[in-house]
Amino acid sequence: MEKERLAEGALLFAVFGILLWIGLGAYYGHQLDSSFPKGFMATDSFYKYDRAVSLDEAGNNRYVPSYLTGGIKGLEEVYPFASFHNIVLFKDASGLELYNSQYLLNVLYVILAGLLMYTLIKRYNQKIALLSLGIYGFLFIGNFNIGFLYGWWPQIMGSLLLVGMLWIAVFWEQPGFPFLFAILAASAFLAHPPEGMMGGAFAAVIILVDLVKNKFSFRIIKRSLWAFLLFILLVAYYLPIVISDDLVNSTGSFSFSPKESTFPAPMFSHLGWYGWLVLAGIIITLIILINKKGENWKFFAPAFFMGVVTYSALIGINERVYQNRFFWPIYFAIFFGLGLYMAIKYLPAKITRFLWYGIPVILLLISLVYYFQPPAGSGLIANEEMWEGIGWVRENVPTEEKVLIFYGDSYNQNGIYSAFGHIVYYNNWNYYLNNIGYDLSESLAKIQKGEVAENYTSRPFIHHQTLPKRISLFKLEYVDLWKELGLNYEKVDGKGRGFEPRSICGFDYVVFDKKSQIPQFAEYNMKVWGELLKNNFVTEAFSNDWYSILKNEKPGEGCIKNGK
Amino acid sequence: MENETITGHKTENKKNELILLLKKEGKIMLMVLAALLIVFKIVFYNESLLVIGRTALGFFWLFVLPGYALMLFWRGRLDFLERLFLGTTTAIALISLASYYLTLNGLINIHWQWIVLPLVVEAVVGGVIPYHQKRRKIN
Repeated sequence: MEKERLAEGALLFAVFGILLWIGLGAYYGHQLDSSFPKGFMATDSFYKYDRAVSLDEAGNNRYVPSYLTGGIKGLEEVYPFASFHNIVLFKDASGLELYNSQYLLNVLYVILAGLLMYTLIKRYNQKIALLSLGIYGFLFIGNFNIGFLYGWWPQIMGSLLLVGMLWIAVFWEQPGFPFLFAILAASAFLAHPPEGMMGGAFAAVIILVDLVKNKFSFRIIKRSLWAFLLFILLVAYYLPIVISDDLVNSTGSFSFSPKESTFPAPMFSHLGWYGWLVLAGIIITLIILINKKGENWKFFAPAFFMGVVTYSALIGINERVYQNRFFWPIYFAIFFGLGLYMAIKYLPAKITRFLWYGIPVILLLISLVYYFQPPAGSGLIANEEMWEGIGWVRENVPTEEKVLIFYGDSYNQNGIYSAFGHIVYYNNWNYYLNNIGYDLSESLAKIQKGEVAENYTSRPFIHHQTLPKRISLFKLEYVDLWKELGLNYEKVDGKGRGFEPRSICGFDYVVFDKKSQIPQFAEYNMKVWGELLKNNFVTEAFSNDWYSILKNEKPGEGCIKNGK
Repeated sequence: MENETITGHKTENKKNELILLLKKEGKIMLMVLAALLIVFKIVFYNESLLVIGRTALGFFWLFVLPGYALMLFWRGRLDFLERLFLGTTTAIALISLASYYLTLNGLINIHWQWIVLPLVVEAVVGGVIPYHQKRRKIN
C-alpha cells in the first residue's frame, strides 16, 4: 500500500513536471523571469494584462483607468476582476514580473485542474484514472493552447474553478459541500461568469436527480438554497453589471442557428489518435451505463455535460462555449482512460501493477514528441527594446500630455495601445491594409508619394463604447464615452470611431517604430521623424534599437515646413 | 464516498487524532514542497535557485497551505490527495474573492494581501476546528 502511494506521488510529480515543461518551460527557454512579455498574440492579451497592471499599480479594481476612456474618470469597471487579484498576489509572493506571474499561474491552474479531475476519476477506478493522465499533454498543444496566447486568463481560472464545481457537485450530499460550491461558483462568476453559470447548471442537474431519487428531501432543498443565498451574497456587488444589457450583448449571442468560432477553436480531430480512444471510451461508457442501469452515472456526468455544453454552439446557444474546449483533455479524460483500459485489458500480455504508472508517462511523452510545438515567436511584443519603449511612455509621460503613435507592425491588435498607460492617438495604417472600410486614402497617398505632411488621419484610443456609473448599490447609469468626448463612434462613409485629420504638431510626444516588416512604412516613419527633428523645440526623449520618441516643447506651433 | 481517514487511526480523542494527522501530513506537505522545488528547477533549469525558490514557495504559501488548512474540515471524508488538490482550488477561489472585496473597500493594501490572507485563513481554521469538533462530538 505504502509503495503504491509512493508510486502514485512520483507519477503525479512526473506528470506535473512534463506538463509544466510543455506549458511554459519550452516556450520560456527554461527560464521563469522573462525580461519582456511573451505570448501576447491578440488584443485581449493586452486588455487583460492592463487590468492586472492597473490593479497592481493603483490598487484599483473599481474604476476603469481613465486612459482607456479618453480621460473620463469615475466609470465603473465592467470586467470581472477576480483572476487579476490572484495574478497580482502571486506576483508579490513570487517576486516575478507581473506578465510572468500571470502566465505561470495560469499554467499551474490548468495542471491543477487536471490533477483534480484525476482524483475524481480515481473514486470510480484507479487504473482508469492513471491512464486518463496520458491525454493531458494536449492541454498545451495546438489550438488547445490558444487561451494562453490570446490572454484569456479569466477564462482559464474560471475553467479550473468549474472543474472544482463539477467535483463538488458530484458529491453534493457531503456535509459542507454546497457551501464550498458557493465559494467556487462566486469566484468563477467574478473571474469569468460563463464558467460560474455552467457549474451552477451542472449542480442543478445533480440536485434535481437527487431530489427525484430522494423523494424531494427537504434537507437537500434547504442546503441548496443556503448555498445559492451565499453565492448571491458573494456576487451581489458585481451582479448588476452582469445582468445589464451592455455586457450581455458583448459576450456573444443566443439564437438557434449554428455559430462559428471567432478564433481557432479546438476540434475533436486535434486530439489525433488519442481522440479515437476517447470515442471508444464514450461508446463503452454508454454500454456500461445501460448494462448497469445507470450505476455510477455521476462520475461520467461531468464529461457528458461539458461535451454537450462545448458543442452547444452548433445549435446556436452561444459561440463563447468554444473556449471551453480548451479543457476537453480534462473533461474527456475519463473516456480516454476507459477506452485505453479496455484496450489494455484484453491484451494477451500480463500488465504488472506498476506498469499502470508508466503508461501515462509514455503517452505524455508521445504527445510531447509527435504533437507538441512551442508557440512560434514571442508575440506582439517583439523584444525587450520594444517593451522598454512602451514602459518609458507609461512611466515618464505626464497624464495630461498628448501622445501620437506612428505606424508599427504590432499595432494591428488594438489592445496594445493600453500598454502605454496613456491616452494615445494613433494613425494605424493597418486599417487601410486590412481594408476594413475606413477612408485613409489621403494619408496613404502621402506615404506613397513620400511626402511628409502636417495632418494625418488619426484617432484616440478608447477601449469602450459605453460604461456605467454606479448610482446606488444596485443601480447603474450608462455613459456613452464617444458622445461625451464629442466623437462619432458609428462608421458612416468610411468615417467615425474618432478618425479625423489631426496635426502632428499638436502632440507633446510622437512615438516612432524604427523597424517594420513593411520597410516602406519604417522608412516613411523615419522621414517624418527627421522632419520633426529639424525644429529646435523638438528633441529625442527616448531612443533604442526599436523606438524613437520625440518630445515637442511647443505643441501647436508649426513643425512641418510646407506641410499640409 | 468512503469514510476513511488517511492515518488509519481510530481514536476517541479527536484532538490527538488531529495532532497525529498534522504530524504525519506535515511531513508529507514538506515533501510536496521539496518536490515542487525540484520539478521547478528541472523544468526551468536556466533560472536561478533564488527565483525558483521564491516562486515555488510563493505558490505554496498563497494557495496550497491555506487550501490544506481549509480542507482539514473534511479530513475524515477525503483522502490526502483529494484534499490537497480540491483545497488548493478552493483557496484560489477564496483568496481571489477576499482580495476582490478587500480592495474594493480599500481595507488592506493589495500588496500586503499575499501575506495577510493566507494567515487569516489558517488562523480562522485553527480557531474554528476545535469548536467544530466539539459540535460533531455532541451530535
